[in-house]
Amino acid sequence: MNWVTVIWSMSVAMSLTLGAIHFVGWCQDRKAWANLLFAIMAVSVAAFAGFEIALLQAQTAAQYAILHQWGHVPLFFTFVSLIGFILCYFRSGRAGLAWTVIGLRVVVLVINFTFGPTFNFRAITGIRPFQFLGGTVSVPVAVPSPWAPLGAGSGLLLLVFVVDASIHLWRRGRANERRRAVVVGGGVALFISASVVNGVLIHTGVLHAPHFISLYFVLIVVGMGYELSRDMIHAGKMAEELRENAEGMSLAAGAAQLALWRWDIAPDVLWVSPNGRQLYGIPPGEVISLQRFLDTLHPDDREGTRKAVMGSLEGEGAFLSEYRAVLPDGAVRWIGAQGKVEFDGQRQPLRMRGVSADITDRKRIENEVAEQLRFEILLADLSARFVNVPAEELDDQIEEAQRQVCECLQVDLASLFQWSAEDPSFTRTHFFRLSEGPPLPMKIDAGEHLPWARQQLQAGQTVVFSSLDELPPEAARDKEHFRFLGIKSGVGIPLSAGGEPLVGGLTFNAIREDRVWPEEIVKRLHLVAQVFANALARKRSEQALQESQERLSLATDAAGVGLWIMTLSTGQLWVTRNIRELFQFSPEEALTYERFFDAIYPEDRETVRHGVAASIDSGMPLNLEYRLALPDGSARWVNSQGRPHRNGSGEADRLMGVTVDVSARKFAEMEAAQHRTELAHLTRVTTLSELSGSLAHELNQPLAIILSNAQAAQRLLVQSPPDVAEVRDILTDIVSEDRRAGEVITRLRALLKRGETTLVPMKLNEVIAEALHLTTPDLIGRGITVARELAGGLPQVSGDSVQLQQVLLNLILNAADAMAANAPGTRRLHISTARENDVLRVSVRDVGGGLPANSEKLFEPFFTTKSHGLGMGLAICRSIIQAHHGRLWAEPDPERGAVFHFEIPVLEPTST
Amino acid sequence: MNTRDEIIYIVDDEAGMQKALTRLFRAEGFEVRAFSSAQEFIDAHRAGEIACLILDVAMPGLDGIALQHFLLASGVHVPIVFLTGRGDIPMSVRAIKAGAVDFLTKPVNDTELLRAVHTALALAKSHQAEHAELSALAKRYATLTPREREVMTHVVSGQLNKQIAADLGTGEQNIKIHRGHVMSKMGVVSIADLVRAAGRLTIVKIA
Repeated sequence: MNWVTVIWSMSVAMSLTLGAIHFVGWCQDRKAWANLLFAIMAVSVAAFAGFEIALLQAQTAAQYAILHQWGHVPLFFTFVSLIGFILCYFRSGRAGLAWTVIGLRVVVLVINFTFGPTFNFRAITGIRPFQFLGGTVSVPVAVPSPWAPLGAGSGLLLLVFVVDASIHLWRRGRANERRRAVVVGGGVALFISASVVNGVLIHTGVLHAPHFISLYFVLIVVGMGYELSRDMIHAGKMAEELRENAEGMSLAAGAAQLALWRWDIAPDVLWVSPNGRQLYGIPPGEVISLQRFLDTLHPDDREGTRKAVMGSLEGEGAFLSEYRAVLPDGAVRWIGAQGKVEFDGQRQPLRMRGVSADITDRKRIENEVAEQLRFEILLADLSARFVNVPAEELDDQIEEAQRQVCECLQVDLASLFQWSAEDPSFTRTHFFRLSEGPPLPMKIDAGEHLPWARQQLQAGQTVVFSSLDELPPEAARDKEHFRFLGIKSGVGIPLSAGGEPLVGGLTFNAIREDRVWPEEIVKRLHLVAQVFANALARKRSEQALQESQERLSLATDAAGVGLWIMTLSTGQLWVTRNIRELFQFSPEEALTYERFFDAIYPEDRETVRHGVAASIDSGMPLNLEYRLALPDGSARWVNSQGRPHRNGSGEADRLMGVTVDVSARKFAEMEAAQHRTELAHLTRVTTLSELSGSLAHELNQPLAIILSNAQAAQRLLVQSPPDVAEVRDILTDIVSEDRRAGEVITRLRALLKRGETTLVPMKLNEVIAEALHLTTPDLIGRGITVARELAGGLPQVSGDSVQLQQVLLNLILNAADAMAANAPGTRRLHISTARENDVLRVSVRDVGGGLPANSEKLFEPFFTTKSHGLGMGLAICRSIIQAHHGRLWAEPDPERGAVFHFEIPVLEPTST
Repeated sequence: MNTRDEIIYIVDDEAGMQKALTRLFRAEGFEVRAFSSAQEFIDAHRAGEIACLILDVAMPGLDGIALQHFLLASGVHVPIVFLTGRGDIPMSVRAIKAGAVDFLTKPVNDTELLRAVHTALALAKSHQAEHAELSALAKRYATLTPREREVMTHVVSGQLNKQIAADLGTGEQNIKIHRGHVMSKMGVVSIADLVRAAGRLTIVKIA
């Protein structure tokens, strides 16, 4: 035994040992190709080292040549496996270089076995002993082969490959990879260069030593083995830690009711902890594949879960999913799973480990909270929305709201029933159902089919039943009908708004299955019912209001009267349609007092403003007549009457009243004024025609008496002796009757006179005397005493005696009428004439009831204070006096009663 | 001239008219009674007088036409001459139809008025005569026995004695005796007179 034997043997053993270890490692992990390549290399190095021992102890040249030739084979494998190892372990290195090196070594092998005796030597002439490491070893006496540089070149190229690969690895910058680059790359490079240098030195004879390179390779193997073993030891440690962790995890998982699982991807085997099997309802012992696992899930969740699994394999390796498992008994369980994928060195997913937990309770709470939240939001939205729903959209909105409630709560059917005193059966006015179904009855004879439910709802009670079995015995008929309708459970809430009588009910029904109605939900449904009830009540009152307004409008339209209400605080004005038409306001325009004011004829505005203000201040009724200046240029006369309305504190807050178009009357008045004279004539003629019958009778009567008396006298006179006394009496009567007839005729003549105004010089006092003569009997009959105070020596006036007499008769008879209520003995009429400069004034004074506040009204046509009469008298009188270029007016008597004056210009102002 | 038992009633609300008419009729020798209202006339009138009524139409209270109807309804036969200030044709037609003698308008001519009055009084007289004759006949008829009344009925209907005897189931001789009694009791000498008397008593059987 010498050192050479010891060293080389140890090298072989060491290489073999390392190779064996890593071969075993590869066997455990077939994908650990680096370990396999290392093992091959280690074995190759060991073989090569064995050849070298044999060479060092070779006895003949031939023996040496054969050993040397075959020693190239392990050397070749060493090269190839080294390159493979670097490529595999570093995951870097240039493939071109690698193949070049391998190619060179193949060439070396070919030369080695083609030309003799070996690649390195052209001829081996002998063996000579050589002292080395305290022993004698054999060295060849040989002629070096000219190919030798090729071998050295391959070694240098290998060096370049390794250095390049190491630099690449270093540049990746990870700590353990850098170390790997330094230790493995650096070592390989160092020992390859050393071996090359060593070979060159020996060949050139500089170094006197036997040719050996196996030791360098052994050192390479040791370096590489160290590094590789480090990895293995690390992996082992990790495995240990993992195991400990896993045990800890298992404990923790058990405590936290977590199920553990591991899915080995390539064999598609899923290991699941026992509590996991319980969780998924998989019997113990059954082999679980991914598909088997997925089959336990709810059909809706299978595809999603599969995608989540596959996604985690492709991405960062994190798996997180929630899905429903359907247990063999049909129960559904929510499960949350979390896992992590383990990858191999090639980033290939190896397995996935993770935990699963039963999250059914959490999901249920989450769902309930979410549902409640959605419902709360819906309720808030409904309440807000229904505040302003226009009446015509209400029906649609209610059904839309029913749809939302049904979808939110997953209720199958929502219905709104209404009933009334006239029709006590339930009428389904609004409904929504989630799924199609047989036609719903729109009318239910509740008294017949739902007596109990009806009684409950009409008593204001809410009806709730989760299933038909919950219904009380007295609801047997209801139950029967619910079954007939396919209803399994339901809620019925009475509808009432603001204490109004109950007019309906809101119901929600489950049809597919029984359903529990938690109190919270029922409370919320009460809110929905309240919202609907309020909206329906509002719609009803709006309709009623609209109807009443329409009726009012119709009524006022029919009467030709427009209504208006002015709110004093805002100046806003509400008017009926016909006022809008009259004032030519647009139908939709918002009206204010100012807008109204603008429509008034400018000259009349101040009067109206003053009148309105006065009415508000005094609280007195308003009565105004004014003109409108309309946009189309036309003018209308309107009359507005109204009165202020006081609020609780006595302040006027509104002014309301009516407005009438009086244009026709006003225009007629104007026309009348133009034809006043004609009217006066007409009035007289009318009076005449009325009087003609009685006038004829009046005249006939005395004539008949006269005739009969005269004929009686004739007969008496032919008797002998004639009754002279009787004849005298007869003649007296005849004269009397004749006078009577004459008076009638005189009166008639005056009245029959044509009505044209013919002004002639005349004495006013005479006209007065005549008028008094005509009226005296009448006045005496009424117990009226007449006082005349006629001024003497008055000048003549230019006048029409008939018309002036008409005026006087009117004034005298009016005065008599005014005193009709006076006590007998206090009826006194005073008539006087006087000259005032160039006019004569006639005054008729009474002691009657006096004048109205505005005495000018007396002279308006159709104004009358009498229960009978046209109210035309004074209007005509005034027009007659005006035709005489005079004036007629009234004033209150300072003491009592009234005085009517008229003045007519004297004919000759200068004369007396 | 006129006899004192003929009375002219005047009803007119106009005093002057009453007076003038009264003078006119008195000048003609009539007895005149004038009233200013219908009621006064109703109170004063006595049945059995030969009278006529000069009646104004237009009066306060019961007017002339109303009074005419009242008298008709009460069975008072007073011939009426209407005298009116304002009469129209429909009114006059109604008055005449209801039995008025004439319908005159004021002023009225005396001859016209007197002619109407004479007509009226003549009517009143014939009324009275007829009334007297009829009551005499009735008195005679009341003296007949029932058998005699039967025989009289058959006689005035133109039957021969033989036929009457056969109808009444008795002998012809008996009928002759009854017939003689009827003729003497009714104060008639011929069958024609008996028939006329029976007609006035309205016991003629129309065959």
